[in-house]
Amino acid sequence: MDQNKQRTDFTPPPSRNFYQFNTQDQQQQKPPLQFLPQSSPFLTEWDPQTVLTNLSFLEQKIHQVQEIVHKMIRSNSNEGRNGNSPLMPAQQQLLSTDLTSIIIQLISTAGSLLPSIKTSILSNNPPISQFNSLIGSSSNPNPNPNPNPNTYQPNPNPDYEELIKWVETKTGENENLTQNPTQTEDLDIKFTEELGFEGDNVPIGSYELLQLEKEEILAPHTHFCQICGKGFKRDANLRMHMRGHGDEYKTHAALSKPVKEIAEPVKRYSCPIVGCKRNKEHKSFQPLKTILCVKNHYRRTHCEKSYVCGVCKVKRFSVIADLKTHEKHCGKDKWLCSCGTTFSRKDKLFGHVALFHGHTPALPSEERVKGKSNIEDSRGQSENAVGFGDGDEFLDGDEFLDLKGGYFSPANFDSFGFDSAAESSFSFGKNSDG
Amino acid sequence: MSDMTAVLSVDLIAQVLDRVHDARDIKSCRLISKAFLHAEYVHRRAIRPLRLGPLPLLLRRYSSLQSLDLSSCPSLDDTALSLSIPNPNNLRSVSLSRASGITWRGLEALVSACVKIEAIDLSHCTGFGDREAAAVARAAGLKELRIEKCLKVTDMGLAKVAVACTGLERLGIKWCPEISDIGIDLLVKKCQDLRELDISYLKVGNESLRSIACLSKLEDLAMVGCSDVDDEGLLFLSFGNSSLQSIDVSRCENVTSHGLAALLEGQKCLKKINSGDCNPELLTSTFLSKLSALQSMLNILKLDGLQLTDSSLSTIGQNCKNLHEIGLSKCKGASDEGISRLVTGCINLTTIDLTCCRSVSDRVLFYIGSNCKRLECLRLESCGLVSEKGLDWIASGCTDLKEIDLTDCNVTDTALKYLSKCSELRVLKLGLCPGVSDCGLAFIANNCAKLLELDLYRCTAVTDEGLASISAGCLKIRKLNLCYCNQISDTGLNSLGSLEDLSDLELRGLVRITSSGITSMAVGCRRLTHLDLKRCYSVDDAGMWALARYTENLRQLTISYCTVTGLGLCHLLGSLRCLQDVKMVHLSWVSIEGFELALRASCGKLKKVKLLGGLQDVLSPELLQTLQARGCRIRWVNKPLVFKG
Repeated sequence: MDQNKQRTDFTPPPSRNFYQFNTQDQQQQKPPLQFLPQSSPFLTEWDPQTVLTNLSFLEQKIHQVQEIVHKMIRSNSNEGRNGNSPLMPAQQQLLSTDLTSIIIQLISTAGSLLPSIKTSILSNNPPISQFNSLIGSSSNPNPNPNPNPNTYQPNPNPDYEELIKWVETKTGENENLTQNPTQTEDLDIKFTEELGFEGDNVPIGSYELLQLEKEEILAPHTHFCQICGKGFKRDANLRMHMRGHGDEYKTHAALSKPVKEIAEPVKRYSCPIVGCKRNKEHKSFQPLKTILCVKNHYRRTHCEKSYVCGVCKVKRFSVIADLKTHEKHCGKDKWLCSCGTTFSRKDKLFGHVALFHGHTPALPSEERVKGKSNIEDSRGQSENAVGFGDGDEFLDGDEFLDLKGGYFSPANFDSFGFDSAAESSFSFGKNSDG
Repeated sequence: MSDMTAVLSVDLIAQVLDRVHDARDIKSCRLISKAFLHAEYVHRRAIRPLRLGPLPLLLRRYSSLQSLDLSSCPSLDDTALSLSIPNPNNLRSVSLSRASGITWRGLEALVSACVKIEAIDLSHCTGFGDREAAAVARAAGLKELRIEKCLKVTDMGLAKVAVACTGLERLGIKWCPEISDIGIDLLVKKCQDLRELDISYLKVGNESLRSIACLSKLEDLAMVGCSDVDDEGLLFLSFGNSSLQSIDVSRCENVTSHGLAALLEGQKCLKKINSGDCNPELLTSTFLSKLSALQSMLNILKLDGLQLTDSSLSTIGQNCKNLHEIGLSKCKGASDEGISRLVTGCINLTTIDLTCCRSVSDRVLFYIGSNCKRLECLRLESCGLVSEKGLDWIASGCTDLKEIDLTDCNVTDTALKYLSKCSELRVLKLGLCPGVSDCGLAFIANNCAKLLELDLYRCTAVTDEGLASISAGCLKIRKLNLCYCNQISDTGLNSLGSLEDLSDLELRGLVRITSSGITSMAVGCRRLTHLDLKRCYSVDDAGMWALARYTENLRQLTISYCTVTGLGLCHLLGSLRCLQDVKMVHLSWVSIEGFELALRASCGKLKKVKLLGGLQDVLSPELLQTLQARGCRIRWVNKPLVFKG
């Protein structure tokens, strides 16, 4: 859980792409350590001095944003007979991100003064140092280093399309926020949701709920060629395929991703199996965020585990990616405790031994010598243990979630955190290279 | 004799025996009467047998034996060990240092036989690893464990011990290169009673010190040569319980006096600080002021190799009044002035180490002689400016002097005449002093009857006559170094025969001595354990026969370059039952068969052999395998093989 929090701490991932070279400002205005709102004393004790500093800081930032707006107006009037500068969408996005950050910071500065704000939003906001880095760049003479908004659309790797979609939803949300910044209650919710939290408590009705059928979920392809009927997993691949059907599909417009309306409603998904927590009829229903989540959830929870680990021949998986992750580590658990638990890392074993009285590390050769359990014979038995330990590793120590959350699989949870934050930042890093 | 037991009860005799320390005196006591013999049987607590054979008998007789040292037993393996130790017994402490023939099975048997065992010494068993550590860990009541240089022990082995032996108080894991911060952390969590810990030369970092700081009873911490530890680590230590009494951070190259100052801030009970060869920067004033705050607590301070100023030395002198030992060896900037002020303040000093403080002159010796009346040990190696006048001051001022090192100090006979006033002298080192002659040695021989150790390395002016006077005057000598005193001949060796206690004798490069001299020496010096005959070209088989016949306790022998043949070598190695370490390089009169037979004859007991590299391919592989299986280490010298036979 903690790890996921940290991963997603950084609120709007798209901004990373834009604010690459902001080092000068950052250095000049590096706030002292006490600013970091992550330390709990800050949250509980309201320190007027800190608030004052934060406020003056915010003031500065607002001025910077103002400057950008001025610049935009100027550039519009300069070249703007057509009024449709190619820079516009990007700049707008930039602006919205900045404003969002200011709002978040304002809320976190208000802290305990606002009764409706839970501590969670405070602790999950970007620390002011990061905030600084976001805004600081705005004073850059060229606020948009990446003037072509297309650069982050036709991603060289179509694998990330899903993520990009997600990011766009995010930016959409951000704009929503800027439109009515007074709804703090809503803000809270949206942000926690955006951070890829479990407990995705978007109020019912604020999103469009979709429920795909089993066949749809399990279908290998979701995009079909209108001409020849060939199926594809990704729209981008289909677009690439379409080139073969004629020159009209080779234009830039046809190849680039169709631009979506900004105010597209937020989508959430429901599992088709009635009784599942992810089904809309469940009393504590928690919607699934993306189609990918639906697919993974459905396979993991309601499908047969047909992929068997080739190494241990014991662990089974229904999602091939899970199998691959497991196989990468399977058999590497060489740190064994006398209780039979295995660990992939020595320090984990030692932590375990330190915690439990009477447990002691077991030397592998010792077991063989004593004839207590021949390694080969006990393969199955010890593999169970391995499996357990492996799962442990695999889940990054999130087993408590498993206990708490009934049949909602922690692996599922893993996919949330991962898909949304870690990989998206990766894809953007790649993007900026190109 | 029977009256004796009427007067003295067994208890009283035991009390008497307690006060007899010398092994030969104890033997004499045993021979007085049956009552004494019986008293000794009942009373004796510790033995250190030289061979395993009589061990079962000894263990039966000495019923209250608690401590058993098997480190000098040759051919010790699992079977021999399990046969020698009765089950059960009362042993509390067992030393198996350098017993490389033992495996974890033997250890397991030992530990299960000795139910009361509290201390085990496995140091220098280089092949030992985690399984051996796990075997030892079965002794749950263990309080002391030494596994220095058990090269294969990893964190796992340490964890085994830590989990099982939570009552551990003293632990030595020096030179176990596989142990890391994780292992230390678990050790600290499990063994909260640790008082002494030696983590020298481990690749551990500051994290380990952070863990160690949690040990509430730790008194003695040695961390020599931990190059990954720096000042931050010492800062962690200073936050710990201030139970630390002794710390050794020598050779920790990243530790500076800033770190030491931080340590002294928290640890106020330090009695011993060894910061030799740390980062050799100038001692900071904060460190000195913290040091001064310790005042009378501090007993031992070693600053070897550090950069000092006169003022820092005088600060130490003014504040650390209770200093017993000061180490200033190889200090940069240790001038006459500074040292004089130091010794003027610290009048309780018993040990002063000024090795390689080349600028030290007679003036310092004057101050030492007039202030440090309790001085027992003075090391002046390579202090070339010291003259006989200065030594006169020392001799007249420090009448308790027991040990003096004057290696490479141009000592003259007159100086020895003055030094002979120190009748308590035990150790005298005169190496590389060509000015020392028979005349000077005669003064020593006449007055220093308690001398135990004499080093005359390359004192080329010494002849048979000087040796004769020493052998007549200093009958207790145990260690004698006559290397390269090339005027010495058989006559001199003949006179050595009167030194019954002699155990270490180095005769390297004495080209005039022959087998007859060796024979007459061997007949007299029955207790010889170490002998070096390298480059004694005239010593041949006859000498080897004599050694085989008379010096039964010989453990370490160097016969490189001697004119020994295969026959002599076979006989020598076959007869000497205690022999463990032989250096036999360049024996060009010994054939390959000779080596083969000789090594086979001594196969079980050898632990270390040095041979010419050329033999590696011609000796039978089974022999080499057997040697190595028995825990013998072979060093191959990379020089050409010559056979003259």
